Amino acid sequence: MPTAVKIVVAVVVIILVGMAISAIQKKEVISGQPLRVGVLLPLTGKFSNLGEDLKNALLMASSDINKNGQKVQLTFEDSAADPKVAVLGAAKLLDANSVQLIIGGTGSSANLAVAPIMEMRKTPFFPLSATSKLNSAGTYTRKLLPDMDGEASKIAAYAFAQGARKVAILYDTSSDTHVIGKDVFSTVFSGLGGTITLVQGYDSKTTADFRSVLTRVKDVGPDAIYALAIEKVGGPLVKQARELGLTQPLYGFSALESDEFFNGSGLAAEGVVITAQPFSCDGAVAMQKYCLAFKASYPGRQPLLYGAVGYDLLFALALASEKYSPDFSKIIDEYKNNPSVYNLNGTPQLDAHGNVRTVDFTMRIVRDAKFVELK
Amino acid sequence: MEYLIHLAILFSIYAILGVGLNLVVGYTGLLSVTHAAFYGIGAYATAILSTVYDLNFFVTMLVGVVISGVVSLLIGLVLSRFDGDYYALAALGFNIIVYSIFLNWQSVTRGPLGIPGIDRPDFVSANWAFLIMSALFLIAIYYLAQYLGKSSFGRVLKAIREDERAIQVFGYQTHYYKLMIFVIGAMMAAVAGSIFAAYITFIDPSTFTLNESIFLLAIIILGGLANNKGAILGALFLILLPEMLRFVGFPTDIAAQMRQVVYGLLLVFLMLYRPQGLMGEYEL
Repeated sequence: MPTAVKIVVAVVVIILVGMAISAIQKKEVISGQPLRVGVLLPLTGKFSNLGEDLKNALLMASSDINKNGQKVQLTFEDSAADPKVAVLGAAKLLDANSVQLIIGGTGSSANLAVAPIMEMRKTPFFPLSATSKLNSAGTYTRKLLPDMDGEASKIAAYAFAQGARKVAILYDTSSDTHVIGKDVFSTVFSGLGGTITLVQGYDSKTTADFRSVLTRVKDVGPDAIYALAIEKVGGPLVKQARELGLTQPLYGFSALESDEFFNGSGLAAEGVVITAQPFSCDGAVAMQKYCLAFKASYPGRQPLLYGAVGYDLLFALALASEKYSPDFSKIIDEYKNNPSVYNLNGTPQLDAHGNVRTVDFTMRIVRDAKFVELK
Repeated sequence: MEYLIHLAILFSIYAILGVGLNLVVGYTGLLSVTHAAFYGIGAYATAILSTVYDLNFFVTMLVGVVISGVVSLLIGLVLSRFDGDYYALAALGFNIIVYSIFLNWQSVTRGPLGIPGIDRPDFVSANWAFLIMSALFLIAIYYLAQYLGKSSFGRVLKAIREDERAIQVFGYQTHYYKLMIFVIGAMMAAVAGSIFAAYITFIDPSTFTLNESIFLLAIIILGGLANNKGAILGALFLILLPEMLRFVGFPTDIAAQMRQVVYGLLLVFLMLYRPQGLMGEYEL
């Protein structure tokens, strides 16, 4: 074996031994010690902007919580929204950092891969995910975002009430949330008496030009278009739709609610209607205060839903920990009874297990490059 | 210790993939970027058969290997007529086709919803036991690859890599050899896919993209082409390196991004100073 190879192998072995020693050292929970929270979120890759939002919000929360003596200790690891990276990140947090619970960022496939590990390790897992499969992922998983079903049902009923009888649906074929949204919308809208004239998939990883897809939509001449898209994709999609002469009402869901959407759509977004979750910087006092604090801490960054939910969660856990530490099972039970301190995303409705199933969705419309409540 | 066991399991899966791909790319000189497709076929076979039909893990693996073999035979019949850049291009196309099938054949694969709740065999429910099982598979596949590489069959493969026309002059039907090794490599990838599905317990199409095929190519190029030990070393390096970088104390704000930058720079550095790979016998 060449000398260079021997050196590489030797370095790897030494580092492995070091990691093993570090991993073996377990930390016992002692009353008064901070709550050790692992955060596994996409800091690189597809959802990195959402991961950054959550990270910033959690850092802000931990700073606020720890003002009077440390009560929470955060450790971040990148999941890259990739199952195998997430599994290794979770294992590292559990072994090398001895975290007592893990908050998961967006990326349902990564969260679904991590959930069984958390079950095996009997460690609570709080993924910020909307995929309904996480509702049955195990006794230690508590999903933080509402199911997509609620949003899709609401917008289907709204579209029908507005007089649409034929709808074309566009959705990202690589997103399980979009597939669920498409299916629920189709079922509800058809049940009311409407017709789905076209269901057209696109792959957001490879598609930036939607004109061929939109041309098909134009050919079928629907009364309205339900475009399931995240903000980065939704902006160009809406703009291209209007440029092609598609003047029908355009409906979307809460993932569009971001400045990034307007960066891509410009003025073409006027009149787009979405279902939205309660969080809004123009909403309740607590939400406004959160947004001001976020913007002050992170100038130039827009506070998003994910960070707000994470901020609220950390406060809920910290309060529970203060009350019941070191009895960890009581901390988690307390979370179920009081899942939200500031209700930054409204009052979540939990199932018996503690998963967020729905919130009070609202409807918002674009006016002058801004989402406003639709009365 | 669990973390190390997780790392070791993933390493063994990628080492199996690397050894299988090395037979195709390293020994035969065929620039194949379809390996993730066969990896996915093995994974989906195990996932579907265990969740829907409750079949034994080894039966699902066998079915995955057979399906992968048949699919690779059909794809290989087309690919074996190409060489050089055209082979790579056609292989790329097939990887995209198979990924699209995983994504869109929703009645079978559930598309982007993925398949959760894949059971592990009871006797390897503990991670350490699972590691032993995957290590045994790695050892078996490594020795099979070594045997093939050192046999007369392996010598023909190397000759195809060096100068296909010259060996054709001696009467060798090279497209049959290329086809055979492509099928063998695909079947090895299916074994890795089955193990991966049982380990992760959830799969979706996002794992089996063209990017994954390119990552597997990187493993064998870094480890050294036409050297099975090199393929294993390449897997060790590329699985361990990003994880080692988790322990480097980069500032929280930029840690994840810095790890990617450092990872990329280290790979570039290695290729500059060792273009034949860590244990390679020749360069691409």
